[in-house]
Amino acid sequence: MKLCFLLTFSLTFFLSGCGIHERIIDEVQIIEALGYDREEGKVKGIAIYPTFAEQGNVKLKIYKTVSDSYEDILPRMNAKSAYPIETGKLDFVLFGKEYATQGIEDVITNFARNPNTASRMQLGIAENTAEDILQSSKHVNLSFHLSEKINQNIESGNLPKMNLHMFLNNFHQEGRDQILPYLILEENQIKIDGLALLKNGKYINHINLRQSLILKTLIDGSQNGQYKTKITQNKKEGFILLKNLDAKTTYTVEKSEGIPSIFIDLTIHAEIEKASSWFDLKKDKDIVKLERILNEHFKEEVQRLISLAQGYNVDPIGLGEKVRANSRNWDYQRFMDIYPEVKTTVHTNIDILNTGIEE
Amino acid sequence: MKSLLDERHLVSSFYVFFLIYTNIIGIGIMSFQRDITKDAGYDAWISIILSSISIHILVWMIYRILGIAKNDVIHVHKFCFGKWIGGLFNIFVIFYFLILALIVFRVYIEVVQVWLFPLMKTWQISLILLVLIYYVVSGGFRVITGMCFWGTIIPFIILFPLNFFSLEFANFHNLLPVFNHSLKEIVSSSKAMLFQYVGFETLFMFYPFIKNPDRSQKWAHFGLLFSSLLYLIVALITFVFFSEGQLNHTIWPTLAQMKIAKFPLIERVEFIVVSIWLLLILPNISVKIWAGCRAIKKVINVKQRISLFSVLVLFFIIANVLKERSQIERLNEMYSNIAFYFVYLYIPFLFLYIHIKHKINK
Repeated sequence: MKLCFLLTFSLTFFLSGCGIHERIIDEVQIIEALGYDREEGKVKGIAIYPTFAEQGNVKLKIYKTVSDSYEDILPRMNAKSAYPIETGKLDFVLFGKEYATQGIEDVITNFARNPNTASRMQLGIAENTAEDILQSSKHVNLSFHLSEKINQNIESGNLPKMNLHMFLNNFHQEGRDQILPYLILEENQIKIDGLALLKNGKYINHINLRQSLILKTLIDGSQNGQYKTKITQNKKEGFILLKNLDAKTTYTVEKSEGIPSIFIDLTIHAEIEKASSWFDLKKDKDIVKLERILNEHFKEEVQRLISLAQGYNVDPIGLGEKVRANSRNWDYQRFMDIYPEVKTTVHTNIDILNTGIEE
Repeated sequence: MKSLLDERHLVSSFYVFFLIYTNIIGIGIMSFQRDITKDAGYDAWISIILSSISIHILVWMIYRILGIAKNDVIHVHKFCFGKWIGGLFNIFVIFYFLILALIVFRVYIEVVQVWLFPLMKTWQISLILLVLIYYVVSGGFRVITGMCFWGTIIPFIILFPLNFFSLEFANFHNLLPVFNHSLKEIVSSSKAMLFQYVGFETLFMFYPFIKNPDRSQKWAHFGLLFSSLLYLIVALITFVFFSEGQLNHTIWPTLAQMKIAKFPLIERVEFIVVSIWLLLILPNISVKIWAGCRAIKKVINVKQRISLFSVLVLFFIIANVLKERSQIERLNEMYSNIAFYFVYLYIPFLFLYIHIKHKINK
């Protein structure tokens, strides 16, 4: 019995050690950002990896490789690396505009196949090439700053909730198209300049940051974000910067058969963060007046955004999803055909809660 | 009522709750969502409730059957059908439990290989697990019950809350419109759901091991209710987290939705999930193997230690022969068909038969 115990114990002990593919942090090459570009019919891959020369001092370095298709980009980089490349910490994938125009479906769905891929990984579209952006991000010497930039802007800026999971969710869903952050270079610094609209994983067009705040309030409501608008009062022109405190959108599908019509009710509770100095905000009457002007403004902007999307034939808001949730015989193909003609009525309700600590 | 077995082998009726729960919640909880939505789409939560009700009725029937026999199903078969035909049914019962245990065992190894250690060989994982299973099962029924107790408590406390992290990305529009599927579709999805409850029939074997078995019935129903509530909650979270299209591409939705949870220092939650899940899988397999070996002992009078050892060797061989996912899935499919007829036709049949026989014998 003693022997039997010894045998089983040692078996369990030793066997548990074998076959496990050890991945010790010093002996793998973590890559934290990856970019894909199309160049003269070939695919160019760029990966950023951190090196830790001394404690607390990160240096970002770059692997580049070219292949005739995207599948073997990582194996080709692996051939250049001293340690096996590990994608477990990868949290940003960037696509050049040309690559995205031809479709990013393959890359994304294959990332999803890998159990090591983080669901919260961020994706993005670069204005020119992914290489430009990643090259200039190398100098920042701060790990994960690209995905943090996007996360930060989702939390407190103008971007709606996004990550790999959300992208796949919308990609496979009937009735909602995908959006990704759109990155540009400004003074050699990376800036998020709005949202890229995609359909079936193919880049269609992009919208600016102001429009993306409106899209954010339309998609998931929002807690944060800033919005600048031009106001004309008493024949004087001035600017107001609204700080978006709390926004909520409700959709009512009034008619789901035939050409659908949707009623959109948008409520924004905002704070005036900055305003041109001649604005008179002392009296309640002026606030009410301002609210009326802003109401008109937002109504117009929402309507414009929707017709813009309808013009591109993409549905980032998920109007299709709202119709689907309300119809008994849903036919996605038919909805796609009539999508540009879907009628929307917008009602906005802007509430200015305060003007800061001074009037 | 005097029990057939010595008092020191028995467990108190309260533990039936844990026995039923661990027998139901096994491998299914990680992947059932895709199977049930195949027909009924996101109305499948209705079929979870429907199949749960039907299982409640069957548990009631099992208690009536065993209440008359005051013994396990092996005895019932001999009593009803005589030595030879009853023996044939008993051999079927042995295989029924053992193959179910084999499926759970093999699928768990597959999950470990896909999610954690892709380079680990099947024989390595299966050898470690089988040594562990031998240790648990050879300890006897009370040890297995103890495993069931901890296998319920620990995974539930640690794994269940992880589901709620995914609500950050919930889209409640996914559930609408409700009742948009025909009755036929709901029924065939309930049939798929039934396989997730399979395992509760081990009650047929461990019934004589319960102290005051008549009083344990309410605990069996509680265990069942608790498991179906767990299925329902997990399914609803999955439905709001994944769009229907994406769910079709996801093999293990529960694992995938727990993956969204993020903690400082723990980048990959699924490593912890799969490891802790073993605590649930282990009693699940153990009870079924115990039931099979107990049945072997009563049919051909082999010592349980010997039969257990040979069963585990057989498991080791078969687990290594089944290499591909498609083979496992075929076995699974075949088994779920047999289980369907066993549960929905054979149990009611036995219920009626034993009542008639009992009346005649009086």
